[in-house]
Amino acid sequence: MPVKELKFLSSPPLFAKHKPYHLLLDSLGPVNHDFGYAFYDETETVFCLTAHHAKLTSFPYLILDYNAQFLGLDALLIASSASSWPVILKAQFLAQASLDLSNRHDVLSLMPLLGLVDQQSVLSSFIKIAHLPKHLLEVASSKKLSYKQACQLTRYDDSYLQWFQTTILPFIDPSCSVFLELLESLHNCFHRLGGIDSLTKALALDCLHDTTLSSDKRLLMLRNQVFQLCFPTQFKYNEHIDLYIKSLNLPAFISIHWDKSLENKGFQLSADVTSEHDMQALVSTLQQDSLQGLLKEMSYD
Amino acid sequence: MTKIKNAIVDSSQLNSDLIKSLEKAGIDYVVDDDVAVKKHYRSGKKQLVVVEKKGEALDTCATISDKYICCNVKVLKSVSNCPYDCSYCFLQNYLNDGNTKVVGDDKALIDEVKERCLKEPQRLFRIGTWELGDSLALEYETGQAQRLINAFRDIPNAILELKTKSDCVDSILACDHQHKTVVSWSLNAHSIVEKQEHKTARLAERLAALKKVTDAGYLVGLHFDPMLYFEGWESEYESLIRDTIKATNINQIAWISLGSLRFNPEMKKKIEANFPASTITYTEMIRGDDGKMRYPKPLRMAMYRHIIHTLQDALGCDDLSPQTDCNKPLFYFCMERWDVWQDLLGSSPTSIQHLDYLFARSLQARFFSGLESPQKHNYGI
Repeated sequence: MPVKELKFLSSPPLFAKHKPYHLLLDSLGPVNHDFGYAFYDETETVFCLTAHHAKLTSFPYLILDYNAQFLGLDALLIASSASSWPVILKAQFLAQASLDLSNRHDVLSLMPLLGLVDQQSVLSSFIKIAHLPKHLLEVASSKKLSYKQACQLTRYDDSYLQWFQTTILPFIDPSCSVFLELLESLHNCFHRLGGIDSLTKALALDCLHDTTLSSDKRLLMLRNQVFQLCFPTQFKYNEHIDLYIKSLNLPAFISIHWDKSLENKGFQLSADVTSEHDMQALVSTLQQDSLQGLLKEMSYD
Repeated sequence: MTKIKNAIVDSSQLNSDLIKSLEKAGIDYVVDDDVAVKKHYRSGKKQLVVVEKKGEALDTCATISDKYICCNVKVLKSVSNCPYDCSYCFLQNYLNDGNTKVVGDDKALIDEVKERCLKEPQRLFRIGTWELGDSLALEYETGQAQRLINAFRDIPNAILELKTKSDCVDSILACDHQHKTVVSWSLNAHSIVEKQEHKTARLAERLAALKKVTDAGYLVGLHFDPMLYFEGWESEYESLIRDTIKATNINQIAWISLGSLRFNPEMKKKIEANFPASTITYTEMIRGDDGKMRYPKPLRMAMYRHIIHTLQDALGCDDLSPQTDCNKPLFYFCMERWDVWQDLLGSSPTSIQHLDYLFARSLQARFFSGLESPQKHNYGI
């Protein structure tokens, strides 16, 4: 869309129908450009496309062409460099545009200006993202989820997401990957156990409300619980192997590692030998029948 | 009863035997050489597209991984997509085109098989037509299996495997198969058939069909795969094994396989989207070394152990290892680890090629004494 002209204007108003969009754009923070964007509507009234806090009597504005059928949203997207917006903001914009524009094809026409392909399925995905619970959406936005990651959130049941947003999310501050991992693991348990009530009962969520614990500690305790609930077989057998290794009373300089997924049978024994005494202790350890018994423990009879 | 409403035929296939079968089945068809790709795997399940053979149709089963032992079966890609709709089916994540395509030119398929088998006359090839579809589900419409059975009869070093979840066997019962075709079933616990294997023949129907082909003298194969974990799995799988063995003749069972649910991680989302009522993806799973999701090994082994004990009892055979004597159906795991074989059967094939050789050894000893004993070096060992 070409720039029509440069004009010095005195605080032109925002276009009324753009107000919900400017509210969304507030999440990007203040705009501090040396110039603004504006457009003239059919009545030759000028409207600002970029919100500026400075109330200058004369400020340079690039005047953009616009499409009345799109309510000037095309000009707004260009003025706001929309292709670089976060995924969640794009989703919220498209959801709002779907309400404001009478024709879905008009919304599709705006998608290239957001750096998106103009496909119905993609539009539907973005609208689904925008309808995720509010707090979850805020967290997803703050974690800078990719489009694919955000789409994953829309797979989950509404009741589950509401529960996660109110019962879990306010009490933890996970990284993006842990956030997604918790959502997926707990969702598996939600279905496996048959609903929210059973899931809540299976978890000891008191730890989340313990203000004496740090946020990291609360998160760690929750993750341990979720792992135990979601992966009971792995938890049980790893604990069993761990106890068996402890019962071997190995010298401190010898450590044993194994595949915690339990797929690969066997173990890696490492030793940090620094003296002849260590060497003798290592030889002695290797000759223990009980060490060989560790392999039997991995046969899962 | 046909599942196919109509067909589209490539003009190059108008003189094929398959067209005669279509006409006999009363399936209307139109000629079109440029059939549009169907985006969703479900959208082409009720229409048959008869295509020409393009490129190589004979391949090795695509699940080879060095951490998990594969049986090295060859697959003849004569069909793509399936009228059935199993929740765990990999086709929903694999097919780029949802059209149900059948190669009309049987002769070209058979020529490729013959050429391949002639190149290695000293080895026995097992060749299945089930890689991208069901071997018998469309038999009423296509008649393809009958023609393949007749062709494989005359290939000395090849055995055809027709694997199915159908009961469409009536048309093959009278074929002169000369034991060169193994008709096999993918079988599962009753509640899994009911809840996950949509549109397939019900378990009782499959077992009735198994009895029919047994009575027709065919060799049969039994695939208890994929086993799924659910409440009550022990008794349901036990009943399945006992009912299945009762429906056939142990001396005609060529092979029995056992495997558990596995799928690519991205398929989880597809299953949840396509089968929202299914809960199979929510069970505890790990990511295996082949990148596929599967139950953790202790769980798989517990399930296998139970089935093996039941099979031992039903077959009257204490030792199911394919490495010991050959007086029993060849038992194998599909895509399992060496140590699972070792711990549950007492021994493991040393390689994929070794398992392939064990198949040949078992088949020759039990059913094809006229053939030379297989030699390990012919199997790359």
